[in-house]
Amino acid sequence: MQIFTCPFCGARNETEFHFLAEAGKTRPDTAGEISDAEWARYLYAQRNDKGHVREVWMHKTCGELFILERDSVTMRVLGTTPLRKEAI
Amino acid sequence: MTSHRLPQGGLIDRKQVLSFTFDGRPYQGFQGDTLASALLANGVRVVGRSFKYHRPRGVWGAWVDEPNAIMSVRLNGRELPNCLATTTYLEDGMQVRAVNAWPSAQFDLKGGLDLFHRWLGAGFYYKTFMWPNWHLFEPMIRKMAGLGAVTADVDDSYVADQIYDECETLVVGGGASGLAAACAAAQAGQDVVLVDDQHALGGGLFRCERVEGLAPQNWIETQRAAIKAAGGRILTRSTAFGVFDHRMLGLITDRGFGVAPRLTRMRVKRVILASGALDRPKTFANNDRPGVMSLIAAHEYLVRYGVLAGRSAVALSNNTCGDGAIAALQEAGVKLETLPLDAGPFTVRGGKLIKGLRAGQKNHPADTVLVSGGLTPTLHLWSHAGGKLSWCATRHAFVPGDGPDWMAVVGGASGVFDLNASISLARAAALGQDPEPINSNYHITPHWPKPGSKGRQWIDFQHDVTLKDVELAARENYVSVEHLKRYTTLGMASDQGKSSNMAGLAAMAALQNCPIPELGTTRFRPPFVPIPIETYHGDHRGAGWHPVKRLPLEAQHRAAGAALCEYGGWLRPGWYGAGNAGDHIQNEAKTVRQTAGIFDASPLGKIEVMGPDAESFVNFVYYNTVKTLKPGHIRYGFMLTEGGIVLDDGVISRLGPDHFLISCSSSHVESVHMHLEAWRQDGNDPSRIFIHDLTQGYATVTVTGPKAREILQALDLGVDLSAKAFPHMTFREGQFNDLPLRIARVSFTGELSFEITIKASAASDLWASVMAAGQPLGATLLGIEALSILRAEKGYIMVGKDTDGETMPHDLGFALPRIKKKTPFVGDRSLRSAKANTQNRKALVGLRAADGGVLPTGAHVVSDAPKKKSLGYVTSSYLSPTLGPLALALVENGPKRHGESVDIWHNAEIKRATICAPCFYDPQGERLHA
Amino acid sequence: MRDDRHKWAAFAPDDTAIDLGGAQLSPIRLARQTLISGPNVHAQTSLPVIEWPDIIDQDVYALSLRRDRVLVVNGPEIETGWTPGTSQAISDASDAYATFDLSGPGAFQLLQRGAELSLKTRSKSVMRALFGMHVMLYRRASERFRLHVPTAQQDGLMHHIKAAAQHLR
Repeated sequence: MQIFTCPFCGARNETEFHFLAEAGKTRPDTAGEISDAEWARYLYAQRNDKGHVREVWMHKTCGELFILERDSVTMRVLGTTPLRKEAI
Repeated sequence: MTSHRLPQGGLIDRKQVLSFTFDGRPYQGFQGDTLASALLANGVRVVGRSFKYHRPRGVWGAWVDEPNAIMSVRLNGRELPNCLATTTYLEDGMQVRAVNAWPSAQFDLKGGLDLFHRWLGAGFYYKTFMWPNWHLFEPMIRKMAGLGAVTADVDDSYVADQIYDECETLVVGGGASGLAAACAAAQAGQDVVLVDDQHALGGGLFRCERVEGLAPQNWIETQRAAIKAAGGRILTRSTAFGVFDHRMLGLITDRGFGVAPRLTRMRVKRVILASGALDRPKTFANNDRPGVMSLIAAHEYLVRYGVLAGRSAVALSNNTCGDGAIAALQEAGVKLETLPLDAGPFTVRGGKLIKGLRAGQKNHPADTVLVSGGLTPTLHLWSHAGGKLSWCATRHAFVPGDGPDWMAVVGGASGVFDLNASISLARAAALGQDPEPINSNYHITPHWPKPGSKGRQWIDFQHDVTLKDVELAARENYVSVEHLKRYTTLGMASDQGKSSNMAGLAAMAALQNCPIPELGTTRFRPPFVPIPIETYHGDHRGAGWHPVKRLPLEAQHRAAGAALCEYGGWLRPGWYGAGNAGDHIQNEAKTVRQTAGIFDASPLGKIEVMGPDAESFVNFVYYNTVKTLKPGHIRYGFMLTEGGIVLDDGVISRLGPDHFLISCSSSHVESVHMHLEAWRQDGNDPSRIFIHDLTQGYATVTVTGPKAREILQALDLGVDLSAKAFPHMTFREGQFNDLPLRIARVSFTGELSFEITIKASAASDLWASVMAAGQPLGATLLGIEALSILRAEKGYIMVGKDTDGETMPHDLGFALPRIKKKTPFVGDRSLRSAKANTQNRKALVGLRAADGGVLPTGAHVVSDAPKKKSLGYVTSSYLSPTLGPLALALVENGPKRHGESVDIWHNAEIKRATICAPCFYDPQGERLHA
Repeated sequence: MRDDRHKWAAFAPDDTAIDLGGAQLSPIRLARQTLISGPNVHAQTSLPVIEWPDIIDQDVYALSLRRDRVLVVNGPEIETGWTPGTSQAISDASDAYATFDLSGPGAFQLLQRGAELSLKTRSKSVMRALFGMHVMLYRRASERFRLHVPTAQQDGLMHHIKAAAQHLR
């Protein structure tokens, strides 16, 4: 069982967390024209990197969304930062 | 049969005599005995049968490295299969049976299988049972193979305890090194936990004469007391069975026979691994005969249990540790002849009773053959943690190589087999000091299996893998260790190779003509020892498996005779009344159409969205336009995934300019809440939007039907209920007993409906008043089953039932926002994809069966021409008391097919039905708006 | 749908304390629970804001739930909804959570059966997954813990606590 660090709550057991997405994607502005390919990339393209990965997780109990950087081979947690920009 | 128990010695309590039976015969042992030591003390030699050939087998080891002695044990009406006799402590009254043997281990009817061994070598299943089909033979083969059988009784009291714990330094193993390390660490102020799997601490120490000038028992006691005094914790009968992510170790604690174990999930900073080393078998002809035993195990039986493994023995040892055991056994009275290793080839003579060992041309009579093939460090946990194994050419063993910096290996596990050196190195490791180099007195002469030599020579005893099987695997090119393991099942027995791995590796290395380390090893995986599945299960069963959510009005529903069923995680009334459920359901549905129904809608989502950006946020997460919704008004809408798929439907009430209330489906509250929270923080400004889920703080009572207004009027809620003052899809604030409440005019039945929401603690009073007002007018209590009929009559969907993973809102007849809504919303671009705009999308329709019957839910709607194919399927189907049988379905190009007659296929039966609009009842909505 | 009315024992919460042998579970009646969210909500409250493993023995206090949310316990009755002046979203959550005190020498070990808990690891939030349910958990005294559990799930949590207490020996 892994220990993840919620940027607000600190270290907690992995059962309190939920994976949401790979980090790094930005929602295209759907008010404008978006090609099928661009939208499909946003929806479906996954990097699925081996080693250092950046992922968006939610700490379910406090609702915090954050970027979890970890090593997908060694399972080592490399860092956590809140997703929101102006986090305290 | 004479007793093999010495008059004194051992750790057993001779005052406590325990009676037990083995394969039906009565025996006695002492408190502190294992099943194996008690059987050996009674002179029982045949304790089991091998997996494949049903060869008679005796005890090999003295602890977890036992491949043969596996028992089904019954005590106090409780039977557990596959108990390892060497690690199961004897209790009074145990009825013990050898597994895989009938009627007994001594006389096994399938013993004759051994005669056919020539045709039953490795891989014979794959080669023999190919034609016509493996599955034809599989049941019979599975029945013949295998160990103990599980009894059919469900034992509700066998529930494992599961607990989380933490410590700074976990010491695994309570032998000399473990005790010394734990003591040093605890005295240095570390928070220490010491685990040892045996009843008594000490590990192999009882085989030593003196430890730092003390008798072993005294030294152990001083260490134990010092650990305790320094605040350390000691867990005996506890096995560290696995290392898991982020320094979590699984510990399993034996709480006595028939009591489910305790699982401790121990989070540690550091592990000191002092798990010792195991003796290896030697590979020679008939080395599997009962009475061939590990020398070091025989020594253990002597010192721990006062049991002599045999009266007269021949010993083969290639190492100094085995030599020590020989001396001790001789001193204890075993008539013991030691043979040099080059006296071979060796063959055990005799069957169930050994006659002796033939060495070359010479016979050496004996009742027991004791062998030691050298020590193998127990490095399972090291390997679990990612540690590598490194070959030591002087000790002829794998020792710890590179590994995690938070695990230190000491004592026998590290390849240090000298007592004093082990103790001082363990203390150094506990304090984080670098080890001093040592001069080891341990010597070993390599003596590995010789491919090509004669006779049947066992490598894996339990799984009947012989040297010939390894040779066969090599001939057929299964030469890598992984292939060798899978082709021959070597190392796949319940001891997971503890007794067989090294001999197997050495044999294959010899066949490949390469050094052992070049062949490599398989990686150890948890668990270190077999553990009951129950260990992982604990209280996650029955009512503890997935506890239902409870309604504040449950007592009222029970009093009214409700059938309580699980809907979306809640325990809710399905219908009211005993006896035939169908009649009650039909009556409830009919009464709602004629007069009124009273329904507990409390689980409906009540998620508040507040803040200056609440309006734009709700507008963004909903398919429908919410910006234009005025305070006091309600709108029905869909939430979509980014793929454009319907995630939830519900109604949005605007409580104020910056305040919305989202009533999502009852079973989707958690997922919708999470969905909203994710979007709030991702791409929106979370300091301007706040989401509160108050679903469980409020109760909702729905009154629905033509007489709903009359019932509400009797409640005096301070609200003008007329259709003009209070139209459909609006809400009003009122009071009940001076408490605020909210009444919403929304309907899931198609009738005039009022949903009254009040604080949960006031629900019972409100319920009583509504009932008092409704009953004189003939209102019924309404359960979910009847509600499902009523909503289907109106063509109202349930997301997840009438929609699937491809359904988009326009498939359900809600096409406008897709065309008209200008602002971005979740899933918008997907609704403009080619896929979303194809003509043959599955869309919601109604169905009427031609024969007037109820269509089966899930039945396929099949096209006539040009070729029969599924166009979709029935999603909901009911008998309506008002309209007769009706169904909803998702059908390709559905709206264009109204009036079309189609086949409905289900389980090879075909019915005819006509496609129609999904709304069967009051399509103009006159009753809804009444 | 299957009628499970007999599978699940009747849900009938009352105020009686339960002796679990080594620990006691006592239902607590609170005057009010107020959920307040806002960008500065931690700084805005004058009440003690409780984190893990703080001990609070007063009767009026705030629980730190999230970066931007507290639960005020036994606070004054205040207007709910969005308050632009203070940038606070306020909801009356009095009936949303049932409250219990778990006390006694076995209380912490009992909780360790439902969550990986450590008194050495501080946390800014009292929110926890306990036996798989999302609860608020904090300390009233060294061996007295308070739990706020979603109302509809109190029976499930009680079941788990009682089952775990079977092992407190």
